[in-house]
Amino acid sequence: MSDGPRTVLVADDDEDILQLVSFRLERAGYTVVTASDGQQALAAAREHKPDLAVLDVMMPGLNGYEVTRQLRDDEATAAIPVILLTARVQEADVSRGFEAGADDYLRKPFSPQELRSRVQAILARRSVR
Amino acid sequence: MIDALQLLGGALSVLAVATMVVLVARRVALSRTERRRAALEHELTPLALELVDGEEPELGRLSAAQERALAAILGRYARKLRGEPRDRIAAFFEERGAVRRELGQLRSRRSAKRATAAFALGDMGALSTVDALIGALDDRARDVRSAAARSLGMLEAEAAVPRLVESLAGSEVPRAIAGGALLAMGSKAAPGLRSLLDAPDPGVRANAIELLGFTGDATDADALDKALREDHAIAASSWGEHAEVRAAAARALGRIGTRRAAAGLRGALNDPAPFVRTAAAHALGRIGDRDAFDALVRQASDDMYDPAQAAAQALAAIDPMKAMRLGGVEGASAHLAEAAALAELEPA
Repeated sequence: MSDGPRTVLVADDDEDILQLVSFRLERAGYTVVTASDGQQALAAAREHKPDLAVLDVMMPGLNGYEVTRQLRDDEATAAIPVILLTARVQEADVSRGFEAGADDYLRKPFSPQELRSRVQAILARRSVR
Repeated sequence: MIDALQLLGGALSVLAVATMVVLVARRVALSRTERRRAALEHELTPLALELVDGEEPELGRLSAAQERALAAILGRYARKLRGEPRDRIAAFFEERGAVRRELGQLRSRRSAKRATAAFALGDMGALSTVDALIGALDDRARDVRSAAARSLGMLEAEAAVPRLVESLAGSEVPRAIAGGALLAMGSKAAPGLRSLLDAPDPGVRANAIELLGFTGDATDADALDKALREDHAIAASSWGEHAEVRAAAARALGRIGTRRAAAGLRGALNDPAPFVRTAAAHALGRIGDRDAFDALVRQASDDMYDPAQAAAQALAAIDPMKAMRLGGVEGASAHLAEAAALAELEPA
């Protein structure tokens, strides 16, 4: 992992969410790469090898669970931590996210500050391993 | 005669051309307005993001169009945010006088204006508007009541829970909107819902219980168990409503997933209302109550279609191996065979 600014991939089909998350993470010193659907998110993850990915669950094409699963199946992206961002709150959906390999879950409506804290916490845990 | 027809033809042609010109001009004007709006939003987005992030940007004097564009962006952001960023949006709208303006519109004589105001107040996120929005649930226009219900859910207004449940039970607001508003509050709605468990109207009780299944927790088991045993020896005129209470209690216990009320659910398999037996079987399947297995086998074998099918699903969920053995026997009932088929689909 490089010493430069950490890169976070943010994927959501909602332009407002992309703006809000990107703004907060950029202000916190991260480099942000955005994608507006699941296919774009996978391509961006393979191209940029981000330090972490924030994925919306309900995206057109590939949903967040499927993107997470495909990231885990690819050796080059398997270690990227994933936070799922979703409006769905049923327990079964949370389990499904963790089964797919997600590291954390954040419910919409969300707090950008809370998201930043979770990003920081996951990246800090990774860097001490 | 021919002259008159020629004149009429000419007039119609002129009219057609004029209509086309008007339509094209309108389309051009609309697309220009849309481009202008998009450009303004593009220009103001960084300002909106700073504001939401707590950076206190210098707003200066905004034109009316800029003010509208900024309000539109912040309104959209408010639907997606919670916590301090949302409070900042509310403070912005309060300071700029927008909340006061919309509260004024809520008293307009035109229902469309009242509905628009009720909707906008939810996006603005100002808690000071809760009382006015609860009042709007009594509006004579359904659109206004619906917009107010949606906004109260966005504001997570706990004080509105009893009135929202009444609106739901009385069909004053579409079920999806009132229910959605209460679910949007999450666990914040639970205390208000609990306070309605003794409401005199069985419709209110049934709806409160149903929603408590989504927002409550294991501590609600005893109260739900009591509702499950609600007396069914009552006047025939309200028999159905009271049975709805028991069915809602069974569903809620299944969703909460506690075994604490398993005995009550097993008792509900003998309820006189088939839809209560159906709900009880589903709930027992969800909590995996092995003690209910034999009673569920009887229900799958002898009961009416819906309760028997629910029992089959529960059997497959509780003990797939046993369900497969029972359903595989020659002469097994259709629903026991269904339980066996479902059990094969259960993960090992």
